[in-house]
Amino acid sequence: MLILNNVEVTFDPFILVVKGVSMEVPEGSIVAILGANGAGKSTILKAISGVIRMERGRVSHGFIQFNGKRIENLPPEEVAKLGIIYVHEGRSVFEELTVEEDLLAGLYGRRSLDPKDALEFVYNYFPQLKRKRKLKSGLLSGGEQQMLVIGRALISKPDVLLLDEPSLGLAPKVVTEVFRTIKQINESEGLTVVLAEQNVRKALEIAEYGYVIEGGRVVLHGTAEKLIRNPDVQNYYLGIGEAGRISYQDVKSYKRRKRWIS
Amino acid sequence: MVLLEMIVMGLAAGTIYGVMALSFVLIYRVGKIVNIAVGDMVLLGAYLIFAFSGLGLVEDPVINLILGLILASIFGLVIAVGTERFLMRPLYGQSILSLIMMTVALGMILRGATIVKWGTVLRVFPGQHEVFPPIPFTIGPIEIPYVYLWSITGAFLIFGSFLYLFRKTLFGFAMRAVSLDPEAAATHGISIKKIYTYTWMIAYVAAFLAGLVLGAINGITVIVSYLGLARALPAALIGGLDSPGGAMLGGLLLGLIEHTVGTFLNAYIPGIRAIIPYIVLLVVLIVKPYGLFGTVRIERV
Repeated sequence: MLILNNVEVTFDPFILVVKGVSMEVPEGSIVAILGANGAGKSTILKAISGVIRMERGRVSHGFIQFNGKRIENLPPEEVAKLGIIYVHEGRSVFEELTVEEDLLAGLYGRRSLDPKDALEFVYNYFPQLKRKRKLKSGLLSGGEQQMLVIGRALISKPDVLLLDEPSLGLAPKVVTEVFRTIKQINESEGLTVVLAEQNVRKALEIAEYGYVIEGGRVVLHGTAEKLIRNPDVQNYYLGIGEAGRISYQDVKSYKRRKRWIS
Repeated sequence: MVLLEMIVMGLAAGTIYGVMALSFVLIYRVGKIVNIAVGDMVLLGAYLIFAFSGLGLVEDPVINLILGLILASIFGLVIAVGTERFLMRPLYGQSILSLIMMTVALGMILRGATIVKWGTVLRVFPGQHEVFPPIPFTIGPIEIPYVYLWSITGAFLIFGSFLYLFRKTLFGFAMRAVSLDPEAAATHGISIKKIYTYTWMIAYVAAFLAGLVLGAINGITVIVSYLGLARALPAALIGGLDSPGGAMLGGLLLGLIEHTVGTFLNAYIPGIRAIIPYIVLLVVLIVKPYGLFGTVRIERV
């Protein structure tokens, strides 16, 4: 169980980005964090993983708890050792390593696992990677690189996977494939997944619960079915609604915000 | 036959340039730090080996010297931890220039420390004449000084074990991962600070080995530090700055050219041998700006 309680994140020295977010991620579930660009989705994931420390940010208020242990402001490698692996957005492969070496680099934090078994475990979910295992990872296609970074996170058998925009810059078909695999792993391994996404439709297809973030605050949360039926979500994120498409010119920004809070 | 001998000499001298370049390249590749202090690390190594083998723990002069090298290397590990922790770590995230200035400072400190401790008198290793006899070693028609046997063996050992570590082990993958994307590496439980510390350790040990060889050839004085930097830098640049294999080949190439072309030309233009490395460097950089084996970044659009 991963719990965020009233978490505030400030970046060097007082730029408040996340303004009191509370969340609960039950074990074995997929939870989506939804929102537009700059809403603070990535920052929340980075706060959990400790990566914000490398970007001169810190959790200045509230706490993050994982299985009863406080983990806010721990260095990223410590968080990783607890079994929480963060996957950067934008496919941060180690370009000059081969696919196999790239995957094995992910095993460094958990050297007790057998490298051969661990590799097979990943190839089982991503057979494409096995075929290209001797290739430099910088030369893979975008979708394969996304699979590689997810595989690299999986190889150390984490308990929680923090996925930052896995759909970024991928073709819709590839997005479907990646998401299907994530769901599959979640079901068969009992892996907890926190997914930050702009692609609301796709995210809610696999997630059980969702949090909508705007301007660093949770403005709406609920089960996936509830969110997808919510008229505001339909209007603003899915582009559909009872009245068909609405013109954004007609929507005053203050009105928009008011609706969210109500 | 003279030419053959020169080629062998050049390659033998090149191995030690390669080891120094390896020390330099590692720091650059993993930490993106241009380590100006590499020559002074070599000098410190020479003095430490001198000091530790001067204790005379073993009768046999050869084993005594090897023991000195091992003890100095262990001491070097401690210095590496200190270097990373107190000089480099506070500067991570700062500009490249301040990191370079810090290595300049490190060099000054190391060099200054050796002068404080051992003065400026020329020293030789204990048992220098037994370990490195003045009569050259002969293989068939070729005669090479004994010290180059040490350089070849040492370089082979350190380079071989390093390459194995770097290319075949999880530690090596982690090291390369940190060099490519520290932030992503950290999210996989790789401690960046530890990797940096280990890198400095390897760099110090390599430099100390070079200190043994250069100290044996030139005698141990402050000259060794200038010589170290003056050979490590062009060898590393020729090889491509971020490739350990390239560093060794750069060193070999440098030694080869220095001892063949340099020696020939020296008869006509006295003193040219000292600047031959830089002429080679110039030509290589003009033809291949990334060096011979440097990484040309894979860029996908």
